[in-house]
Amino acid sequence: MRVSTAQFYFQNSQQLSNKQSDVNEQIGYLSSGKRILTAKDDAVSFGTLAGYKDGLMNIEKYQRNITQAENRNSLQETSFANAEDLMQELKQLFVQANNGTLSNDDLAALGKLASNSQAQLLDIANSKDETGGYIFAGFQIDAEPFALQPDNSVNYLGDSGIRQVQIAKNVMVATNQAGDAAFENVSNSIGDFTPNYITNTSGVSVTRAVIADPSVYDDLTNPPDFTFDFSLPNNLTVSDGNGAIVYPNTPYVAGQTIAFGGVEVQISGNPLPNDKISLAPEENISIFDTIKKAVDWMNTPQTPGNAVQHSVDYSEILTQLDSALNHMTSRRTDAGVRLQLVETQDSNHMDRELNLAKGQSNLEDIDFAKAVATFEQSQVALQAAQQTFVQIKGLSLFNYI
Amino acid sequence: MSVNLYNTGVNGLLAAQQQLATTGHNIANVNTEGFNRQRAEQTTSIGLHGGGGNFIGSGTYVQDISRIYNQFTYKEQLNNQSHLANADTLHKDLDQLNEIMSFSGSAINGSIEKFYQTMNGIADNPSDLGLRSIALNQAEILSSDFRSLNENIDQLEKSANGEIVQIAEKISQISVEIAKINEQILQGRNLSTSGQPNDLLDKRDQLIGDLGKFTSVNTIVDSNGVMTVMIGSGATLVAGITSLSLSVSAGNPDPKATELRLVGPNSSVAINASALGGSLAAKIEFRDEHLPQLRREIDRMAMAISQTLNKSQSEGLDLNAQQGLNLFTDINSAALQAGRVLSPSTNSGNLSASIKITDVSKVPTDEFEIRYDGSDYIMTNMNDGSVQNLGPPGSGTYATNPDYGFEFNELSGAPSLDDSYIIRPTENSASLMKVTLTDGAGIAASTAVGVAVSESNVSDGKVNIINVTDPVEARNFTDTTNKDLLVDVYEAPAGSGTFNYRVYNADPTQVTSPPPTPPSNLGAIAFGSFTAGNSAVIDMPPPPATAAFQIEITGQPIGQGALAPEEFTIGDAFGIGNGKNATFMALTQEKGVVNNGRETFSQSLAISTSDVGAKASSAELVSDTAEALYTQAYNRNQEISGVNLDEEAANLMKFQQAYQASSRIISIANTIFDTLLQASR
Repeated sequence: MRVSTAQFYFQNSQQLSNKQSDVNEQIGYLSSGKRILTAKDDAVSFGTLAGYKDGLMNIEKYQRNITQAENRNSLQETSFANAEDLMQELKQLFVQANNGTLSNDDLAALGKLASNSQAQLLDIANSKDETGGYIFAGFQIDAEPFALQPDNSVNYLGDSGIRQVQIAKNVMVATNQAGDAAFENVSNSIGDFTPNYITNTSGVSVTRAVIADPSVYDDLTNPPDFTFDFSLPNNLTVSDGNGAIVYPNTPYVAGQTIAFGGVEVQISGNPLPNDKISLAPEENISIFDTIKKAVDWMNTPQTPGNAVQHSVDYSEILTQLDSALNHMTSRRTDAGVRLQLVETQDSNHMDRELNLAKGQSNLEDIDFAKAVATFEQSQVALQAAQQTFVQIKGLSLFNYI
Repeated sequence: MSVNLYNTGVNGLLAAQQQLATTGHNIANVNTEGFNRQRAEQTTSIGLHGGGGNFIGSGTYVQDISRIYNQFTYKEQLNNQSHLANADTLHKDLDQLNEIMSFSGSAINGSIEKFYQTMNGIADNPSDLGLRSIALNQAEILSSDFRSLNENIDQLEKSANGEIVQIAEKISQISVEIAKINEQILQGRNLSTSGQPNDLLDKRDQLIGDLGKFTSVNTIVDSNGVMTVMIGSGATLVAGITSLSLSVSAGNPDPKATELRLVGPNSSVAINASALGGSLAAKIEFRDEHLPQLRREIDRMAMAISQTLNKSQSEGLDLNAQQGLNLFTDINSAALQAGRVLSPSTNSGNLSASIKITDVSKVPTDEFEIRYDGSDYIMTNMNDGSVQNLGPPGSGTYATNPDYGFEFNELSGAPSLDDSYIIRPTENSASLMKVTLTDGAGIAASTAVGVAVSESNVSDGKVNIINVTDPVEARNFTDTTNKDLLVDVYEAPAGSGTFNYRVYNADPTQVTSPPPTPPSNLGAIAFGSFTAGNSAVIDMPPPPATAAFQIEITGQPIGQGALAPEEFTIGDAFGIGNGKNATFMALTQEKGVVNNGRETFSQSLAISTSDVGAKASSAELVSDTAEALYTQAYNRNQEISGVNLDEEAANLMKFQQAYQASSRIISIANTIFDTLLQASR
């Protein structure tokens, strides 16, 4: 086969340039440490790689949100823990105040301490976070949510808004608790109604008043408030807000359950004729109302005239304080549960992140041992091509004639 | 006798001289491109009838100096050269596109990521003005990334067009040169009938070789040695001594899709560029197929992002309790709508039309053509060939079926028979993408209305607010007009799986009587029922007013009977601490939007990038193969026609010896003559 001079040179220069571009490519891979620099290097893996990178970015996003959620919920947990302690103290003061031997001045002093507790709780409810927004105001974070009125009652000016952040693909976690759920919606320990003792000579107290069967409770036909009239000899009549009788004149046995229109009521003690109690619907009692009642009770000296009612009020208020304390505890647990959720997700993400990073590295990173060997090989091939060229150029008959 | 010897010597000398000259010519042209080595053919001179009845040879002469040329191997080399040029050009262009896409693509991905990062921050802390301002900045960076990727693609298109013009010029020049050579050969042939103008032929073949790089070439040589050159699938470039030229004219309707025309002395005719082969066809393929495909994908993504975020904005309220304005340029702005319809200047009607996008998730990256066939608009999908009949003109708006997510609108005027319009549904979306919101407070992080679930609800029924089209009005309706918008639902009859719902204004200060006990619907704003497994969707405000939002009841809200149904209160949710809409906006990052809701933004981007990478990778393979094939064809051709210096060196020695030997003959002949003269003294 005949070979022309031009062919010699063409072939060699082609080889040289091919080998050089090979070496160049290897240098690119080695210096970046990646096998896939652009999509052309491996189009199929590029798609998978993009998926891994996407997953890792999402995890980063979730972890940022987790940090925020953690911070906010920790703050809430602390706040409720403090509130819990306050309620504990208040309860003790209240129990202390139920001592017949205390003088009015002593009572007043205790009342003062109780007021302080109220102010402190108000402070907690009106606390702000690092952004300057009120944490218990729902969505209305620019205005103080709990406003103290002149008569020591507290109004809630915020709303029920809950903010959420995404901490995993399908998991959202709340980052705040609205003030109404936190402090206003403390469940009434008696049930769904609050008693008002119009005449209480016997010292009875309503221990339970619930809507036992909502499917028959019709407050349009028989609207509250329900009035309990005790009459001679031992009869009880209950009438509704319009005066209609809902529980006809029936003998009342102490301790029996009074049931009418889906409502069940239990009274402790022996009622005397002419005792009159009215029940108004109240499902939730604000914690501040409870505290106000406690403080008012402590500031009201016990007189022979109000001794019976005072005592009835005491047990009611005490039970309600308990309910309020439990509410604080359960709010705190809520925050704790969220923190746990956040923690679990965080560790899930860390595991997943490890997996994804490994997958990404497998696809994207070069095997340095292999790459260096390939580079050496390319280098040697280039050197061989270069030396061959040098040899060839010296081969000419013209050198010998 | 000696005279003959003398002649023979001189013959030999002259022949050897010519051989040496030819060898020298070969050696001198060892590096000339396209040179075919020449060889002098020596033949014996006719023998003379000499004494004794014998024919005595009288030397030699050079009959012909011909070039060693095999037209078959040459044609093979030419073909492969065209293929190589085509594959190589495409490979280089796609390589460049791959680099741009890989790096710009990851920049866009990064911008999307950062924007959503800030959005998540706003969802957690909606009143922070700093975060909002950062979000706007990130949005601006995102739109600028899209614009600059679009500009890069524009730049590639521009340089492809520039190179096409240059190639066309070169082809025209070559055409002129070939015609000149043809003329020279013809003249030379007229003057003498013997001998080949080898160097002219070589030059012409070299020109053909150059031409072959730009386009595929076919040649025919007639009996006079004049060559007719045809390019592509038979268009004549050089007809004998007449040369035609290639010109580039602006495309119609898209001026940047330039067209080629073959210009002759009396006429010009358009050429189908894709049949041309060579680097010209590669450039045109790149410009007309690969670039637009990528551009349309990028445009679609820009459109999807703009539309998704704009829609989210419109469903919420900004810091000033106003409905969120568009974050990015409206995808149905008048300019964008009109820019999607391209009307060639050959249309005789005066129809002006636009395309409105109705559903971004269904918009394809295909190009369409709408033609008026005299009675109806016929729409053809240029990528898969499917055809739809839109209906006769005059209806104003035409939806597409199957739904491509856009509708065709007649703005003014009417078409004439055979008028056609190019439809590009995603055109300009990336180049016109801009952030139109200037104030961070304009980010609509807050929702307008929210649902409060009653504590006494017992079942898993849920009420959601969906499709908020007018958040300000929604708030008005649920806070001012109806201060206590109550939705109650319960199962009736029990166990039937049918749920009855009612919507009432239960605020005692606004209505004279509270909602009646179910099943009465007296005075209800809306009421109805639905079955388990379905959901109820209620427009609020109810018809005939325009709906500002919709209430959706799902699940199984069984309730506890007519007196105790499940209750949900819908009320104003606006607050500067309300980040719920921002949360929804942030969730769109992982929501499938593009391509019928199957791809998220980053997936769509990755798919486009991989596509380009795959194309570039296979173009590289094709190019490598073409190079190998060309090398083989080249080698085969060189085997026959290439100059080998060693061979020529050996030849030099050979002919030098022959020259020396022949001159020796002359001197011997001289000596013989001298001897003869001596003898006769």
